[in-house]
Amino acid sequence: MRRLALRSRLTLALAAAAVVPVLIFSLLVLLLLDQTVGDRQVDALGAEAQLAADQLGADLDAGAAARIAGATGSGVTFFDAQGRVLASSGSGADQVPPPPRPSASPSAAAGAAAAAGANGATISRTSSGLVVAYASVGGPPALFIVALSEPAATGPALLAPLLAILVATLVLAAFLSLALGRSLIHPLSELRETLDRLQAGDLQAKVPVESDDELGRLAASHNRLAATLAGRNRALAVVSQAFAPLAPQAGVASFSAAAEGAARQAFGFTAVSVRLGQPPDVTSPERVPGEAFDVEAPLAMGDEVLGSIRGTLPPTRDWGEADQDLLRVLGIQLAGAIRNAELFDATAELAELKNEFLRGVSHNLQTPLTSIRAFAGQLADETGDRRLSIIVEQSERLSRLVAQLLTVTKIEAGTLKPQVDVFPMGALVRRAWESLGHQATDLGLDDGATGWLAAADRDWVEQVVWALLDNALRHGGGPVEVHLAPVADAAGATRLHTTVRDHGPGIAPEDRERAFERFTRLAPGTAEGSGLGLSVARGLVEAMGGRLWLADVEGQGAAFTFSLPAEHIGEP
Amino acid sequence: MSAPGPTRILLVDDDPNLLVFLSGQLRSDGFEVHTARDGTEALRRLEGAWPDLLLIDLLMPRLDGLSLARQVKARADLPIIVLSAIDAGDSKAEALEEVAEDYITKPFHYPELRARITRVLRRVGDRVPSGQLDLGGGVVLDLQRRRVLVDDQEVRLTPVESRLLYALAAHLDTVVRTETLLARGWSDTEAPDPSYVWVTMRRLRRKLERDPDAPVYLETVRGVGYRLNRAPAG
Repeated sequence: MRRLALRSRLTLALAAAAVVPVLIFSLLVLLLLDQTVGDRQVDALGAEAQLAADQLGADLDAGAAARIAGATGSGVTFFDAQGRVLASSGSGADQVPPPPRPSASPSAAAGAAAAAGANGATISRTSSGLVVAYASVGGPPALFIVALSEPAATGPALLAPLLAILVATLVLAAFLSLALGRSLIHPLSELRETLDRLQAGDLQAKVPVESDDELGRLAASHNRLAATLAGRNRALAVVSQAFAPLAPQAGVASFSAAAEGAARQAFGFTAVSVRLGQPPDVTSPERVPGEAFDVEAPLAMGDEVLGSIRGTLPPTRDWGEADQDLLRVLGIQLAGAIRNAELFDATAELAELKNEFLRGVSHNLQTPLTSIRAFAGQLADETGDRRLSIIVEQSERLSRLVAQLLTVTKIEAGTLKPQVDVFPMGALVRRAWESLGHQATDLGLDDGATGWLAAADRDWVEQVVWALLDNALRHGGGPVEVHLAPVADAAGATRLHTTVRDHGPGIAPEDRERAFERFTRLAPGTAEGSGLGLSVARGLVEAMGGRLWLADVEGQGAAFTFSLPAEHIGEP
Repeated sequence: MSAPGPTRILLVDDDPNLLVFLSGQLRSDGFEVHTARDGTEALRRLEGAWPDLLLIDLLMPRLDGLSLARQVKARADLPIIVLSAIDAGDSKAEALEEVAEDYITKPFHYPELRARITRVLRRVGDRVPSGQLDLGGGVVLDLQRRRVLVDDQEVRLTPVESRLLYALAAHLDTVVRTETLLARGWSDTEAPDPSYVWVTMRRLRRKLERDPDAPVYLETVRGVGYRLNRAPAG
């Protein structure tokens, strides 16, 4: 069975406490009243019976009976000495049992209780609710007996007020218990509401402590619980944010310092230290009352322990399982951060080594190439020998491929910084074409960008154009066409679009993006080129704030277009 | 350049082949050339006589090009051109910006190098304060470090922009002809055209001026050239 609500139970209990005594009291009063009324009736009836007997003569007939019945209002029955009914009159008179024998015990009368009345009459109560008074006519032994009978009297007049008092008491008790119940329930409801807010995350919710009783103490201990939770929450926030401001390159020392700061703030440590390489050795905090004590957690990365974090707590501070868990979380976080920092350092070191290596390779390759090119160029100028020009062109080509290797690493590292200058794109395209030394193929330059200068890094753009022209010559066929045009972009700024178009087999739409990936060679079986040219070109263009893509072409061939910031020549 | 006699160049490179080739070419073009194989040797040579221009390789044994350039710059405002197999986008070369007048990436055409030398030598004789030049109105030029401070905010200058500003600052409040600016900013192999100056001045105004359409500092003198002004008082 479901238990009743606390409020209903309180109401019922209070009602019971008020109503039960009132009920018992009322019953007692009723009994007492009943007794008194009965006694008074018996006395009156007895006296009337005796008076009737005294005044009666020998004429014990129906007329006399009717006369007495009329005078007293009671039933009248005459008996002879043997108990035979001589005459009767009035209500209930025919039910009056014969008088008890005077010599016999009064209780011997069948179904009746008999007692001697105050006036010499004998009183008897019948089972049918009559009170009967027997009085002797003539004296003893009796010759005749007169019996007056009346229904037994009760206190009906008192019953109604008593019932009213009872009802009033009940109503009052109900009101009182409701009011009292409310005053008892109210703090509990408040506590419940506060707990609901607490559950909803409002850790500042407090129950007002209004008294020093059980309810007051319940409220106070709730408030302590809420304060502890809020404290833990703050500690958790501090722990989880401990490394937020730090980048991976901050280094191990910074992470340790941040962890120490967070531990101080979160746990109230008076001293804290991160010990790398030392596993924890405080097994269980031995607390000596009144003395500071140490707690510790491992810097754990899975099964590996990188060290420990140890803090000293003031003697007043509690340390529970939840605190230890939180410290462990801090330890795990710090271990992750330290491992990250170490990996970052190692990666940065490797990257620097790689860059150093590539710089060395580049320098060591470019130095002899510079001399080859310089002397071959000098001789070519002096002798006009075409073979020497080929040496110049091919050594330059080799230099560019070596330079691309170095550029790739700079694109990867994102360290490219263009030296922006302004220049006409048409002249630059022509120069790049000449340096390729492909006199056998025609360059179709359609310069639609007169009046505009490109604003970009001259050397880089030269590398990009060279790479695109070189690609067109190696993969395409027939003439190479370059088209220049100023194009307004979505933001309204003008960009200079340079399109390099060949008439080779072209590149399928699904391969277009792959063409810009490093070491990709789309033409099967060819090993020509480094596979870096397009990737480097795109990296350089993007570092200058432009884009490089493969455009749709009509007919056969491929068309690479790149965009660059442009400046109108305009007024000086 | 007021010194009599041919222009003196100190060439520093660890590749003997290049030293032979370049010194031959430069001498045939009328320069007086001294050579050094590394940075320490170069410093020893500088004890004797100051050249008009230094050509130095970036990667060298013992004392590298950057350290050498810094030591030289600490003692005199000598123009320096760096020869390097590493281009200007490299982090190492970036540090050169503050000390080198120009750089040229190996391998290079000799005519290209000669054009750069000619361009750099044009500015010899121009003098601007080695520290910062306050133009007033919250604009401070810091040309040694290729930057301008506008209301204490650093604005980086490109090499060309700083060359033009250098030429204008050396003749503060005086008109500098467009042709002069063109010769200072670009070498002859770059097909110089007055439009380069116009566009670059417009880009400079966007960096310096509060209202680039109503310039205060970089004034156009129509038909002649440009003038760098201080901000009007008040």
